Amino acid sequence: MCIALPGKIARIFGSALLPMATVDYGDMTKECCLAYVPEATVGDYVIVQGGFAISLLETHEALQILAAFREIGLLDTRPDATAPASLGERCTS
Amino acid sequence: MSATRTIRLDQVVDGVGTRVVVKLDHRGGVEDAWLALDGLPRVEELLRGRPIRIVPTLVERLCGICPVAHHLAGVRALDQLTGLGAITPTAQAVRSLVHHGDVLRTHARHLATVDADRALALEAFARQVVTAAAGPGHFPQCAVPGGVVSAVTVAQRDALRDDVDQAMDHALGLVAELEGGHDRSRLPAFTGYDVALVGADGTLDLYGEHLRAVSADGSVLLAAATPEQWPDLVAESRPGATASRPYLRAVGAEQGRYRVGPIAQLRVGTHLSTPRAEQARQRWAARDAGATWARAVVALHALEVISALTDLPELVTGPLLAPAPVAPGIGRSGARATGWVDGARGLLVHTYQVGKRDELIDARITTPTAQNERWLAALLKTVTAEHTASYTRNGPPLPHELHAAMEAAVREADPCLPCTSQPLNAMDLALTVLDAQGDPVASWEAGHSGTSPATTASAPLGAQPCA
Repeated sequence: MCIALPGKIARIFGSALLPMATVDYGDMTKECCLAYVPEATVGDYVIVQGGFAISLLETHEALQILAAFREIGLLDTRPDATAPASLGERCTS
Repeated sequence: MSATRTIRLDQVVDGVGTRVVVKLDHRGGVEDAWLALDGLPRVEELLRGRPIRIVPTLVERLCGICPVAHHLAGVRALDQLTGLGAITPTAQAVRSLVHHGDVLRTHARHLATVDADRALALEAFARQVVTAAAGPGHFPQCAVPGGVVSAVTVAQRDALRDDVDQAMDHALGLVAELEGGHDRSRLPAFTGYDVALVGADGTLDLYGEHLRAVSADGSVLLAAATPEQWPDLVAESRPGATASRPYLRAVGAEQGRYRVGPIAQLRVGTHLSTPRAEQARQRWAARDAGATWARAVVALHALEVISALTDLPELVTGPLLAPAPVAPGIGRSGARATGWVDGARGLLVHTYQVGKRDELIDARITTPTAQNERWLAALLKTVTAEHTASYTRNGPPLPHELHAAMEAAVREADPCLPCTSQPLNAMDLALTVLDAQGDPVASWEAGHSGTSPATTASAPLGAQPCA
């Protein structure tokens, strides 16, 4: 199943034709294109697929996703863990 | 006992580049090819023990790419478990509206490669539809067991009526552009079954209650199967694997291979119930065209359904919930129920089994990606077999013709993977070639088309397909 974590836009750069962003996932960052969600601003949460932000989320929706990951043990909730990036090693298949 | 493994952060955060694996035979020809899906997890095991009422919500948040389809399939399963299966006309209309809006939205995004302006206009209308039925958020506020949380407001309904004709022009325009410039599909024909949902009359119904399976020569294997029959209809060749290779039990693991999605949706019934899309379907069938054109026809069908729904009085008024059953509750311990929808990528099925304390004790989520994996493997085997000379050249870059052929195959089957969101001719594909013993002999990494020594190939290659 395709699963996706939301990331928070830390920086926007590029041009109006090709807006780009640096997205923060806690332990790591990724760069993506904002062409599908040009209205996005710094601080917004997005879901990124294939280098493109495909969905813009409200903050409470992003937190709901993170809560779902925690609920099934895919996010590390130890006090020293840096949410949302520290994934547990509990996925079974 | 289940195995435990690590999910890598970079597989969850925008995935890894998608890898095609080619296995050669002793003479250097292609014996098999497949897309490595094993980096993707299955979550069913992790859902066990959770209160069954929250399971659909959990799944739609975990799979944030297709929240509407998971929402509806999961709640339909809960409809059955709670004894509230017969929903009201208003609930049926609102759920159907959000589902067809979601299908239209997804197809419109794909069709941006055909005409970006028309596709974006259509996508904006589809968003308006989904918002009217399920609110403006990323996650739908729509279905609950036995009904829906609200009807569409009169103002929203009227706004949709005002805008639907313009959306229809764009949908018809996209179909016309494909008809005007499209050659016959160069990809090989699929010899397995096509599976899609239908209504009581046997015509395509993306929110239908019956499942139909038709062979490549058009003979009907299943005319109108019900959700309760699902566990007896389909089994997995590799239970628990991401590439689980589901098949139709009635004809066995090999003969029972099938596909879902736009092509199956257009092939499975005798005709479409909506007139403009039916005319377009006939032209599509006459040209033996592929999936992109099929998406445009299904999008047109979804739009016609949406237009018809806006004429129904029950869309804006009427009871939202079915009457409570005589014995309310989640059903008896051990009860099993299935909910399904036929989405933009094809059939999505949720099956739940409930325990003594209304907790989930078993689940099976059957995705379009898993159901189409075998079809995609057949496409990849054909297209990679035409490029065997490339596999011994072992030098960058990945030959353009080979990359283009693999990308065309992946886009045809359209797995729910990050690579399918990438622009045309820019899909991030990696390729690993295995010799007849299964040892890597060449590898091209995604993103930079360079070669790497065979021994450094580290991405999951996936299990070898079944013979």
